[in-house]
Amino acid sequence: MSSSTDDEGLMEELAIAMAQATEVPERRRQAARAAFSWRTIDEELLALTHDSLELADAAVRGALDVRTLGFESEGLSLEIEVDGDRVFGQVLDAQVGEVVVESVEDGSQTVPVDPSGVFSVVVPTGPVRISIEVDGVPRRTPWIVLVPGPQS
Amino acid sequence: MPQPLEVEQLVEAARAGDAAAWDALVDRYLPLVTAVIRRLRLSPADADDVNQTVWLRLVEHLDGLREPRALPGWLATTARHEGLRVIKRRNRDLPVDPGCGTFDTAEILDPGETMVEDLRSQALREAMLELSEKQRELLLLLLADPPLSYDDISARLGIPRGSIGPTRARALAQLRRSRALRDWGDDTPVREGGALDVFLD
Repeated sequence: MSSSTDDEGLMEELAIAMAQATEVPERRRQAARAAFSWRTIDEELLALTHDSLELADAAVRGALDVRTLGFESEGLSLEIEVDGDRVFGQVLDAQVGEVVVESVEDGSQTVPVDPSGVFSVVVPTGPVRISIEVDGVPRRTPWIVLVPGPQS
Repeated sequence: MPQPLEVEQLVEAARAGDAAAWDALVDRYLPLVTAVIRRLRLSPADADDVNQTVWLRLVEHLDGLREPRALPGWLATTARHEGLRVIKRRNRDLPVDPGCGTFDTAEILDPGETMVEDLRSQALREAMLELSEKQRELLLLLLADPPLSYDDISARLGIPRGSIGPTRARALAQLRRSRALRDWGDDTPVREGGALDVFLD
């Protein structure tokens, strides 16, 4: 694709560009706007360190493999396994009594963590994040889809 | 018509909690995110999830965004990445079907060309905002589908038929000099090779 197009070529590019602007479903706009209400200040990110979906080639992975993800921030890490709509997690390097699973669709649910740091929870479909409070400061994973919705 | 706010100003205002600035960012970049997601041919439900994830990610990324002008590239990359994640998740649920699956994935995994096209379209939409209202209106009428006749356009804009061609030429020349197209080399006869690197590093 050359940018040094003549006027006709530029008009063709404009036609494509302007058509894209009219092809946005309204529910996507509403969802995008609503995302702003999740803005939080002074949060610390539990950064994603690995997602087994991104490691192995799909061809060599068994269909029954459980998806595992790891998150980390200073002095805290979180390992989770996703099995169907259930997430098994373990909080490492810090003692916490609970984690909070936040979902745009379903709001927040507080999940107890046992003394060894283990918890288990049924996770809503769509983007979710897990928040763990340490010393009064919530640390949150990035938003991520752990359980896809029903395939229509 | 007031000049549209630059992305730097919108990001700054959104950081300060201005919901209207956020909405303006959404309106400006949603067509780009939608176009990138559409290319992955997800189900409507998965596409909605990816779209929502992208904007939630931007909300948490607002403070860390050092170069607001890199935002289109960040959005396109994030949309694509999260879309591919959903595809990989879906593929795990499928019975093994190497032939069909491999073909589809290989096609979808090719990152380069389509994202450049979508970023180019984004730049063109932003360039249109820099034109005067009269110039922009004329170009939009010329792009109408089904096409309008020059007589129609002349009547709608209240300008003589004979000035449509010259006005179009001036509008396109203005477009090529726009800030939005600065990195795309439209106003130089020979294209610089590295103009896209900022988006695709």
